[in-house]
Amino acid sequence: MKEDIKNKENAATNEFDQVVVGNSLTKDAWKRLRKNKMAVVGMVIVILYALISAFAPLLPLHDYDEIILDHQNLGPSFNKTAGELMMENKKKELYFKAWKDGSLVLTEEQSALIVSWIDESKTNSVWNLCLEEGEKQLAAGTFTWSSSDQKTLDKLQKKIDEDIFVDITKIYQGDTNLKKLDSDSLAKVYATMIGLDDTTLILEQTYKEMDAFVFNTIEMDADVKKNLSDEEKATIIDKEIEKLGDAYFEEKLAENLYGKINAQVLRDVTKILENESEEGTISFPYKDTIEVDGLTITVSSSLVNQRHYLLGTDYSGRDLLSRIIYGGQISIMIGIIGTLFSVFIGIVLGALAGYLGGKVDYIIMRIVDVMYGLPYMLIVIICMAIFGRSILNLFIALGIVSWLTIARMVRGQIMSLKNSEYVEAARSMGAKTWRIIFKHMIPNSLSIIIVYSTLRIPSFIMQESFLSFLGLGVQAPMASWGSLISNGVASMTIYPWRLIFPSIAMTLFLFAMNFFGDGLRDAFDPQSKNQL
Amino acid sequence: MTKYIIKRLLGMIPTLLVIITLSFFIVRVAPGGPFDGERALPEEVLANIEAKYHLDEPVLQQYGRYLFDVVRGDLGPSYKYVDNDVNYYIFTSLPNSAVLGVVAILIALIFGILFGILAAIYQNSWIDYLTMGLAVLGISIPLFVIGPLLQLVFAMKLHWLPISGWYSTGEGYSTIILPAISLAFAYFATIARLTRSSMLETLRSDYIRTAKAKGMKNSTIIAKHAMKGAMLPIVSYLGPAFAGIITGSIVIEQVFRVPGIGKFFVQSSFNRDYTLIIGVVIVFSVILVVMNFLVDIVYALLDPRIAY
Repeated sequence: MKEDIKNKENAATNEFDQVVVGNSLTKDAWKRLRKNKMAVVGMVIVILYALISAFAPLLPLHDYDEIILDHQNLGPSFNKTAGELMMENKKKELYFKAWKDGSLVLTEEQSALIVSWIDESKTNSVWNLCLEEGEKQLAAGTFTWSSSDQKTLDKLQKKIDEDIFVDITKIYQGDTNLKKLDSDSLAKVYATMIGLDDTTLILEQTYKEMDAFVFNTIEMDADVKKNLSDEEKATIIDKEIEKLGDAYFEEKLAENLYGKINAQVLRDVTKILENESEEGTISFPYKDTIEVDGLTITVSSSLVNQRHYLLGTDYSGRDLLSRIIYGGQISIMIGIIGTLFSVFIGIVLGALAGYLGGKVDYIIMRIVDVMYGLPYMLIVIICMAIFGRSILNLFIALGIVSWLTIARMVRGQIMSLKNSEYVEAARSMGAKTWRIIFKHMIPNSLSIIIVYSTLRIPSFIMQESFLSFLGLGVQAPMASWGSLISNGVASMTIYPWRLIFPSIAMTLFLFAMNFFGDGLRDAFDPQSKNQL
Repeated sequence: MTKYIIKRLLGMIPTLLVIITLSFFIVRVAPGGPFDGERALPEEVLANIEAKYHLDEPVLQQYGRYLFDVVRGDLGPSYKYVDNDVNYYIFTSLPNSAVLGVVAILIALIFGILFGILAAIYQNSWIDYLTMGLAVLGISIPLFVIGPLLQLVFAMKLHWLPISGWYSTGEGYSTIILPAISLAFAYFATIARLTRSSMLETLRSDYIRTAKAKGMKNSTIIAKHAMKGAMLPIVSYLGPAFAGIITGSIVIEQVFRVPGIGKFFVQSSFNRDYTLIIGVVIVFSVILVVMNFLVDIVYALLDPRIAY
């Protein structure tokens, strides 16, 4: 067809010999959509979010689940490094202490102000004032640190300058990844590392640890467990190990040994890097392979306190920016997959009801009516609390309750298409019911279905974050916008950025999505304008 | 009309039956029971407890017994809070939730309709843009964001209102304001938008033109003629709004520490306190179903075109 239009000779023309170009619904809608400025802005923002989430692994972000306890609750900052912020926090604390024990003298007004702030629990204002005044007086020479405070600060400064963070990504022996080796070979590797001739001792020790591990996992009354004799213990453990199966046991054994090797390697590599950094022979961030004890180790290392956290960190020192991005990834994914799931159920049931009519229609529509009357989020909450908080359960629970509107809509569409000529034609040629529905009718109502699905995504994200907020959705170390906001709420008095940034990220996306969805709907269905 | 009301009343029964059955069986097929603690109980003790709560009977018998009790208005004993039964916990916390919900829906209705009408009358003025802006904001901001943000601004920065608490525990009636506004915001937004669009449509209809032609005052036309027609979509939206406010109150009660029924719901879900979970769900469902029923009646009364 397209070539026909390009080729003027074959194209349809009107009486003035102008080419007549057909306009499809999609083309027409696209034209209308482009006129709607807010919808276009919304679309751009949505695409931006989608791109950032999709390419998050390629962005220069810190790991979203990397816990650095020294970096707890650092504030957002463009130019200050984590170390500087740590220093600042320590100083705030020490200046405040100095004010309290009288060595930092402030004017009466300032002191009165601090007292009133403490009453109103404006912790941040107190700290900032103490820091500002303290620094001023320190520079002017009217205040000096007590010797113990000075020592604390020096120690911290040394730590900030020297701490390196070492991350072992892979350990190779020759060409084989150690993760792929079985427990015997791992034991041999470990033996040579710590300078033992054979593996008996290591295996003995590991087996003991495994026994303890297995024993801990056995569910039994605590008192009974404590009072078992050694022999009883041994038989119970043997039974349990038998139950777990050899493959599982071997896997756990290998894991244990790998952990030991990893810990040893980490110690050695850190020592090497620390020495080299003191001599000034390497620069950070460092990414290379190192040979230790006959093993080839892929290492990445950085001066951890030189990091920048644009949006601050959370309560375990994880980078908030990367948590928001990865959390957004999960939230958006849940929104899309959940919508697809519910749309699928809705299409199937709605199409069946619309096409078959009669009893099937009656039953499905009664189910829809009854479910509309239910407080279905309550059912979802029960399901999540009782069946466990996995993402799969989240999809199922939300999908099962959110197909109602789509089903109604598809039913209406199908009913209006049912008597059209092409369906009649298909039926008269003997096409089967499911073929008519899925080959002819659904593709013809697909554009409307897609539009309404877009409108569903924000509400799906909202429901997911609602559950995560209650602690029933995505679990740490994974994040979603809802769980980030929930964590932020808990500490919003002192660390407001932990609430504000995730809130902005989520609201902006929902905002854009709503504008975009509304625009799409208006474009595809101009008559629906100004309706909800 | 009487026939219609009776028909709708009878229609409530299957909905309630479905909800009771569904929640009864969901909590019972779930892995783990209410008495799985940190340490396992000796078998005899467990057997005694199960006998006390009739958990040793066949499931269908339990179901029958439970249905019979519910019909009599008895929601059974709580498994975790042994001091009182479910009725006690629900009916001491329900009034708090009810006050919160009613205030929220009133705020949403009054301000939503007011803004919607003003936006429709002064179309394309600043009040129209403000309303539409608030409307989109309202459906985009989740209520667990708006709640804490209001706390941050009005309680912590400006100190105008208490940050959390509830009047029944002696913290003043101003404690109602912030949670009610947070809960109402989304519904205010939708109602304003609905009112605006249906008002615009009504103002363009023939009977309004007739009224204008007869020389009626503008305010009379809006108050007497346009309002009645424009209210229909809002009335039908009230059903979903009630459902949303009930669900939303669970989060808002947590954020603002309101001693309401939502708190029990989340706690009992974690505790697997079967009877309390089902009890709360039943109470919520009854409220919702009754509200939907009232909405339908009001709708039928308002719109003479509806045949019942």
